Amino acid sequence: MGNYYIKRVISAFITILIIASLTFFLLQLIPGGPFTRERQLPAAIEERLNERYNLDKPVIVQYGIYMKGLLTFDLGLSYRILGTSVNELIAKGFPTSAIIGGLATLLIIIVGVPIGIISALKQNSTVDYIVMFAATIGVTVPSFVIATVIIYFFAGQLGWIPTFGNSKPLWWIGPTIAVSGYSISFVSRLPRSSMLEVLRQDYVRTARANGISEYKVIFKHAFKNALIPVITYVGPMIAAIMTGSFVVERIFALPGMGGYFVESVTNRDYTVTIGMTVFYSVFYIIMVMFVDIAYSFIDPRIKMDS
Amino acid sequence: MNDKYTFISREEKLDSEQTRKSLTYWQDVWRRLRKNRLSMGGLFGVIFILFFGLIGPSFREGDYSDQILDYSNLPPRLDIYEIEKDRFVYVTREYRVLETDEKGTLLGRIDQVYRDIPNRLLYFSDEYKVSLEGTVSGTYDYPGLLSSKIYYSDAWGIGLKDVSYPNGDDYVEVAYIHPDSPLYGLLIDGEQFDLSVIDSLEEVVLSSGDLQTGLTGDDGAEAMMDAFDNNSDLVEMTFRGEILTMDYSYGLVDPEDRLEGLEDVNIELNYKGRITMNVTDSVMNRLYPWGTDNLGRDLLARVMYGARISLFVAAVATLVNFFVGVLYGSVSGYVGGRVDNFMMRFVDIINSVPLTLYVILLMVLLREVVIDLTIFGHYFVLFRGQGGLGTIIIALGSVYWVGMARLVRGQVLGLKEQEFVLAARTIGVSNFRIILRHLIPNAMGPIVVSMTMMIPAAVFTEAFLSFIGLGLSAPLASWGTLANDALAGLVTYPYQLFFPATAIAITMLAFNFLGDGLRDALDPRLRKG
Repeated sequence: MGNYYIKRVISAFITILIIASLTFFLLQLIPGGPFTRERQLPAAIEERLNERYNLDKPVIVQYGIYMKGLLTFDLGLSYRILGTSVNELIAKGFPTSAIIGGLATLLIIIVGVPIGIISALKQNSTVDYIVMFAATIGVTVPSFVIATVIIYFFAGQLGWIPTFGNSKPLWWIGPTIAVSGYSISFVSRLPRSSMLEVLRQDYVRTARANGISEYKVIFKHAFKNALIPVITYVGPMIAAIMTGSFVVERIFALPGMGGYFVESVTNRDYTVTIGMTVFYSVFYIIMVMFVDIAYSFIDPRIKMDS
Repeated sequence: MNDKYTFISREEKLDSEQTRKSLTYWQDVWRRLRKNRLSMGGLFGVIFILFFGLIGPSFREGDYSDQILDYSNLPPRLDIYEIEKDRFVYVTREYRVLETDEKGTLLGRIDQVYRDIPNRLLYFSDEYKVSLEGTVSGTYDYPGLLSSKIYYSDAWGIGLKDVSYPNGDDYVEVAYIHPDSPLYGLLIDGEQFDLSVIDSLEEVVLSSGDLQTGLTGDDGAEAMMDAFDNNSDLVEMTFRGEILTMDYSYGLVDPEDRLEGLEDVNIELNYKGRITMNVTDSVMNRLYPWGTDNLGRDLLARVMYGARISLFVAAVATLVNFFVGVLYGSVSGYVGGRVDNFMMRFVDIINSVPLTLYVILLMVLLREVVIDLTIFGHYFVLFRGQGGLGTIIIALGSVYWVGMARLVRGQVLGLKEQEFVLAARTIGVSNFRIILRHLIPNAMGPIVVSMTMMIPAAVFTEAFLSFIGLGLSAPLASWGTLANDALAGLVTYPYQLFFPATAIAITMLAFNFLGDGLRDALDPRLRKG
């Protein structure tokens, strides 16, 4: 068992290294340096800049410097926001994204999972149909539409929530709903189908036949197994939404990570782009790892060594 | 002889044989798909969207990229005002005045408009020389020159009918007020009576509370208007040397028929007071049923064209996924062993990164790429990354095949152990042919389902990329770029987001329903239905 965890951590580490290298070389392929602009810089300045950012060295040396930095959690300097390191940018943007992402995750779990279970228990009832219809609609509407509709109606027309700002909890409502809208719909479908499957299993029938109360059957026997697809989805999703939704942060003018990422992409601030990709990937891979480990707690039948 | 048993005739024998034409796999799938109403709805939705995108634009007169700046930001419904009989205008949010007909067909901009936007005033003149003042939302008030036939003239004053807007910028004011028309400028037979001409309004005496007397000229006019606004009971004033008294209804109460005989006189009146003009009618925008964007481009044509682009991108990306993924997956699954292990580790690594991130990185990379070629001194650009269709297709196609590869590998792993593969191998069919003719066709069911689901995912991703500004650049328009463009003016022009967003949602719904139905129809376990 312990052997498995060690193996899992090592493979995750290797994957992260591969991703970082891949991203690094991918962006090296882009023609033109980060300081190539419409207006030609004086040669001396450009030389100094290249020297400062190690761009005068061969690619392989740059790669070595970058990887060395990565191992010490140093993601380098931003090309555009002068004097700011990528670490600082992440430290600046991550709290905002994490608050919204955390709230959204809570909302998804608190709303999505019970909805799915209720509609599974009342299969083919009106409640089930309404919930599943709403979930289907929710999955088909892009998050930028949800976000703009929230801004338009609840912030603009009704004035219930502020359109932007980042100080009061009231303000977090809009982005949280916008971020979680798609996932709530998606998550509510997962426990429904798995619950339906589980409820047909023999052991549930046995439990019922033994006269165990319906409440116990559902929550003690069926619920755990119905949670597996939810965990599979929610794990990586947490990484995705905690590191900032590009779209929602843009619409609500949030100073979060997603905003910095998109900005770095449009500004050709490559170090920031790589740094944030790596940060996101690490987060993502760790979450996937947690999901794998969580399986073994929920369902002991899932073997760890396979 | 035992006559209990006799031979049956040949006809009878044939009749008892239950024969039914055996269905092929795909015929059976189609039969079961037809039973699923939701997925048939999805299928019709897909067909509708295809027609919408492919044939739709030819029904639109203009091109999707035609810009008519006069017609920018027009909504699908126009609130029109009848400024005179059979003459309708629509006033845009930017205080441009567009002439329309009764049904809402735009006729053109009415030019030479002086716009005093800070005060929300609009004075425009054309051959009729109408000046307008207005707040555009809701009520509509403006002063203007009116010509009118007298429709009654009695002791109570002059009533007007057939109000129209004649020539003349001259500001003519007259000491006359009628409840239906808060006028106080009058031109009778070409003779002007202006409130600024003191002798035409010598004195205004207000009774009932507002005890202001002896006001003349503009002051007098103002006092009179105040009295009018305050519903003062009686107003006395001197007009043409005569003292006229108005009652609260603002008719003239001079008992003598001073103004008798004016029936034949043309009167031009100047509204200086505000008339609240209500929206005459709310009509469909005939020229642009879905309105226009901020450059005056036809939104319907753009959404139709966007359907082409979005679906084309999705279809090509899906095809790339199909070819790469199916080939990769089937080779990996069929060869097996170390090759399979290696190929699948590679897929795992790609899969361990959020795919959207890779698409974004690829977009960043590809948009910088220009592949050019000089042959015999001629310069060709083979590929230009910036905002082109190719970029987005390559980015989507090169990343999303991993899911397909995994799926096909799983299928092939199961299929390759079956007897028909062994049989094919025994008679010496080449490996390549076994994959192509035996394995892939048998895995086609899940592949088709996966492809149907991939199209909406690609539409989604493309919309997302365009939305964060990494997608197509103008004048190309996908649904994502349309939604992105609409964002700037969302509060004022919500319809600009509504239409592309609805188009995306309908496409997603249609493909999702179709995919769900196909999955059920293609799943052999559910065959019995």
